[in-house]
Amino acid sequence: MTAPGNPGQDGWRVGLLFSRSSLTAAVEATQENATRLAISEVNAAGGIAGRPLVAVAADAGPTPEDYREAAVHLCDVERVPVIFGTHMSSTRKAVLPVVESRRVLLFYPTLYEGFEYSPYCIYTGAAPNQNSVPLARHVLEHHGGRVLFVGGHYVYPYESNRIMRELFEQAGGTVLDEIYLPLQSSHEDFMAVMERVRALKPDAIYSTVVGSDTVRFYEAYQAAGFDPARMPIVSLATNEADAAAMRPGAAEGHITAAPWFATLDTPASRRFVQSFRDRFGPDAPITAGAEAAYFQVHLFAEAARRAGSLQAAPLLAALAGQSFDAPQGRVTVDADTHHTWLWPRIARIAANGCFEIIADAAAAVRPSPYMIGHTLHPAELPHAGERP
Amino acid sequence: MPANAPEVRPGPALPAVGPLLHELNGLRVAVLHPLDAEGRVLISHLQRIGSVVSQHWPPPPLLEAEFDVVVLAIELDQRQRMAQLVASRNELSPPLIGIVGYENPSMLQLVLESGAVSVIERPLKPFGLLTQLLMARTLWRQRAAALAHIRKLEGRFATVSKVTMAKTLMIAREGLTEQEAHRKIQRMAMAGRTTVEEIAESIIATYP
Repeated sequence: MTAPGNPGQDGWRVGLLFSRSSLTAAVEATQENATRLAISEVNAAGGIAGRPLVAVAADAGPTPEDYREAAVHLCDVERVPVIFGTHMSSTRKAVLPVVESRRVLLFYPTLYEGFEYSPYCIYTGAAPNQNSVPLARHVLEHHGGRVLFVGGHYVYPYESNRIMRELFEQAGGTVLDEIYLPLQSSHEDFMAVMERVRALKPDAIYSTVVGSDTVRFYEAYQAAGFDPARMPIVSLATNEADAAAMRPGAAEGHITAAPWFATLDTPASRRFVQSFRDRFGPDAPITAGAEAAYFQVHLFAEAARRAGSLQAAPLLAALAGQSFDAPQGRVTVDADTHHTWLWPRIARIAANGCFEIIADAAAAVRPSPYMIGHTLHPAELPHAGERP
Repeated sequence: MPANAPEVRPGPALPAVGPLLHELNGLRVAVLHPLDAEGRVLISHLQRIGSVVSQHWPPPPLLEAEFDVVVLAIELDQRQRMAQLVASRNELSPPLIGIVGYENPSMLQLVLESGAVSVIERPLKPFGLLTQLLMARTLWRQRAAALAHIRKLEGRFATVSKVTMAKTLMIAREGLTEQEAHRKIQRMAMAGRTTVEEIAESIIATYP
């Protein structure tokens, strides 16, 4: 067994930490696929210092504790110097102490609620200033200021709702109620939420429901007969994989904010979609989380080539300020925060399940995980396309 | 309950985190810590969460500029300097967060002498710093509010005892009832456009 950070006989071993049995297994599958696609591209381009990357996957069970144990296995038995993965914030929070104590790097490819910095984590999904702020602005401008929050019982909904509440209240809006359901809630649970929706008549519903719960939530909305044009569900997490699992039409008209959608019509985005579909099938859904999972492997590989090493200290030094022409546009690792400059976008889901982009950033937005400098009065909410 | 224990009342209203987080944006933090690897971890994370940091080492005898929080490395070999700095502080000086490397009795003595409201342990890491800043600011604000309340009560008590003394004198000298003495002091204060406290003082001062 070689020391972590040195190439073994077969190449540089890197860890993949996704779950096939978690609440968010569908989107995690797209992230694992995208990670494998990027690894094969890096290897086709000569690997790192002439040696290929070798994916070592730990299929985690569904709970944060399962992810923690899988991370311990990747670090202590497989001896990988970097791990790509985790999805729900509860799983990332469980894994961080493991990687920090072993000086292993975690690349986290998912939007989350911010207010975090780990010296051993690189965050490539959107921070709240890159998705919550544009989404709140969109709702206030196009739908109104009376919103209802619906989410699951865990860390991301609580914190994301706290941020969203501030955004709406500072702009003179009102949060009518915050409803939290247990993870894996039933159709009946979500139908009960729809009764509350019927009584409160919000202008929009901000959803922090994630994974397969999303399917039941949107289907309950459809069953209740509401009109998404007048009262959309708006979300940062609902993605192409969730929509693909819903009944026809259940996702139509609802809104998601994310840095990338599969409909983004640029050469880099089309290339990514084509490679993904060539490899995983023409109907395989691709998500913003998958796009982040894809470009973070390339960011890592370019930094590793320059560092000539996969050990944490030189790799982190090389990652600071590292850029890559990602499918969403040019992304850059912010040295101060370990988060990434990203391109906020907003999409409305069409009848065919495509996420059609209705607002598009003109430039990458600097990450601000601690929401520094966000006064968030209506006039100061950055338009998509402006730098904060 | 001991006979002289104060009546137990509910605690102060619990603050919300939102406004506290907004305060961190631009919070002025004096970091009294060597500019070594740990010092850089500390400073870079303070800046990451929005603070404006000013670093000094060794600890200066007093802090010239205004700060919202002071973070002080508590070191046995800096005891003299720390004592000077602590002596320069008053009850409304910004809250002090201590950094300690271990917790033997002499270090604990220094922590007590520093007046720290909270303590961070080495090795320094980003996680936990935000919590300590919020706790230190919250405790400081509660203490400042309690001090303001005590000052107000002290002032009110001084007034009440002077008026009581003046009334006692008037009752004895002029044969007034207490109510009459009270009304007379009030009338004199209104006529002289002054406070009952000043009228009471003048009555006490002219007592033969």
